[in-house]
Amino acid sequence: MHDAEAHLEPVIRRVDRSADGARTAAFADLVNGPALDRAYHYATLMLGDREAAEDATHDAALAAWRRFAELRDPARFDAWFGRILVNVCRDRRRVRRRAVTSLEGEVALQDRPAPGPDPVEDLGRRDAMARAIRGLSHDQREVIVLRFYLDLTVDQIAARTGARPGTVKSRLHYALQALRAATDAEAAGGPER
Amino acid sequence: MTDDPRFEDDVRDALRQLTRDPVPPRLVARVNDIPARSPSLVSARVSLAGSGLRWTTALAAVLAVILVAGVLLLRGTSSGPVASPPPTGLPGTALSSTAPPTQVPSAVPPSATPTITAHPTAVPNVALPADFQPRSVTFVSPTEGWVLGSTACASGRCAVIAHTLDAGRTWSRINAPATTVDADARLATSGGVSTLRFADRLDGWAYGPDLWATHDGGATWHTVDLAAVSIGQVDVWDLQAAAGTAYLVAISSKSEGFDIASTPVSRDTWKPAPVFLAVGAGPVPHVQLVIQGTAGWLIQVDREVINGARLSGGIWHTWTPPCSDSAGPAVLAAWNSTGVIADCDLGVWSTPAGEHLYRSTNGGASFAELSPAVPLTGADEVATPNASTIVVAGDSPLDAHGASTPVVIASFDGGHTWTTVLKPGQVTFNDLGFTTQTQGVMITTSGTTSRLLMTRDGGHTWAAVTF
Repeated sequence: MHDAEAHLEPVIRRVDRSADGARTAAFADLVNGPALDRAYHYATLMLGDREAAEDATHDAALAAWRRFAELRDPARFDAWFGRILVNVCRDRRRVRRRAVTSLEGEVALQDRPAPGPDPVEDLGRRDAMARAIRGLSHDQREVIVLRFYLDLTVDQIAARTGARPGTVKSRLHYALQALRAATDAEAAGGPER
Repeated sequence: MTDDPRFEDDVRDALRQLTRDPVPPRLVARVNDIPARSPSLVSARVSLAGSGLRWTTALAAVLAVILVAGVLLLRGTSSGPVASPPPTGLPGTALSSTAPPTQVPSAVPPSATPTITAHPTAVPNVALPADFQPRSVTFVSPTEGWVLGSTACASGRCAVIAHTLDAGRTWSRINAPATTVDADARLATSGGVSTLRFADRLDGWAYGPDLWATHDGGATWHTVDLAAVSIGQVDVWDLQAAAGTAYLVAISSKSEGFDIASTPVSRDTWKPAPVFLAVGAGPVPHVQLVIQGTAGWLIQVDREVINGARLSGGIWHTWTPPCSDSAGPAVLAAWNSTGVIADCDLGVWSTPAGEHLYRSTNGGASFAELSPAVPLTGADEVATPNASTIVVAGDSPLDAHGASTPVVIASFDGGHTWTTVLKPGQVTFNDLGFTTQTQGVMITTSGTTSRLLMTRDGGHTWAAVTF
């Protein structure tokens, strides 16, 4: 395995009542803490659809609940749950194939005050960036979201996605390159369109 | 990553803008409700609790006690009625469960079709409900088949079964298990069934995660006790039947992996096999069982191929499936007891290298790659009625926007060239398989709407079936 979070790999063990207590506590944290927000937003970015994101987050939570006995260290629930969510989103992408363009209606950049010296330019840049993110492949968007939305390190992304760190770096490189190319092209042609 | 921190800030800013919405209260409620719907790791699951229903802890506890008592009473005994031996007009073929999505029965000579003028379980003058949605399909001959579907009920979506004796041209409603229908057995906490398989015109099972059986052609259904297979809460993930024997794959709340069990199709004396598959490292396991005659293959995929087992000479052995070191998932299909194909998504968890097809002509002992690569970005279902025809349902290659769409492609020359035979829209696929060399089925689902599609020309064209 090339998994930096190998210690999180599920090891089925006999279930006892104390596991139920740990599971209940982990779920209380999930529901009441920021983890659910992060999970829902991750799913929204990956699936491009609020309803699909809600279902994916729920399914991941359900899978985590049912398979909690496989989590060796309950203190690492967040990372373990994150891995489940990544896989649920991948599964859903494969089976639902929601067009990434459905993010189109989700973005409402215009109603937010834009900081910076030139609000109009700032708005345009963010809007272009959002479109560029939508245009990334699933694998590229996955590393971009994990890196720049969840602020995970390369090793953490590797652990969460099952890819090698070198692969993660490569995907990040090409994803950023694609984002820059897309936003540059839009900036160059923007005024005329 | 980049030498331009401002550019990275732009990326972060755009991502934040795309995620300004708060978590929907409905999602919070649904997640919050999970413990209530599945109260304990060690308690029994209760059927008929639809997704919109919340169990009370007291009810769950009472039913758990009842179930445990039942298990103790029934352990070691047959839990179902013993039916007469099924018709044996189809020796040596896997006519049984149409197989989809995992097995592809051999061709069936028309003369082998049982002659049936009236089915004992048909419910006279009872039409299928208007909101009938097919979920799973199984044929035991070119003409006789069943579809498990659902209709709205107080518990959510309740099971309804449609039966045809004329290859899907007309359907009648027969009795169904008194349970709900789940879309995904792996994630079901409320019990219910998701898949239907018949071994012959009398013996069938509705499963996933619960297990119901009939041995009178669907006139009556009963739940099956699997205490002899594993301890704890046992969920059935796959079940196929052929050549007079049914096989299932199950996981229990107290086991360390997947158990295999088998029974003569005419009764439910399920006995565990000596082989069992340890759960893999990934967080979302999936198993696929393929049976052809007296041969069979079981593969566990959890992001990538984990392990497997092979049925040979009536005995299950541990088996290293194809693509076990390819850092990606695989899907199997077989056209007879020695011909097996595997569609592997190579390197999806390392360096993506696309879909590749492998074929074995020695029952899975070894595989050789077919060329060229399959023009898909992911395969969900594979079926092969013979060595030449291969049908794959999956994702199209990425377009210029990085998006893919569901497609069904087929090769009629053993995997050398491919043709798109169906673009069904934004759907999921299940139960893709062939009953004969030319007749096949699949179910597509889009949201809450699903359709049964059939081909009668070997996979070249597919048409929706009207119920």
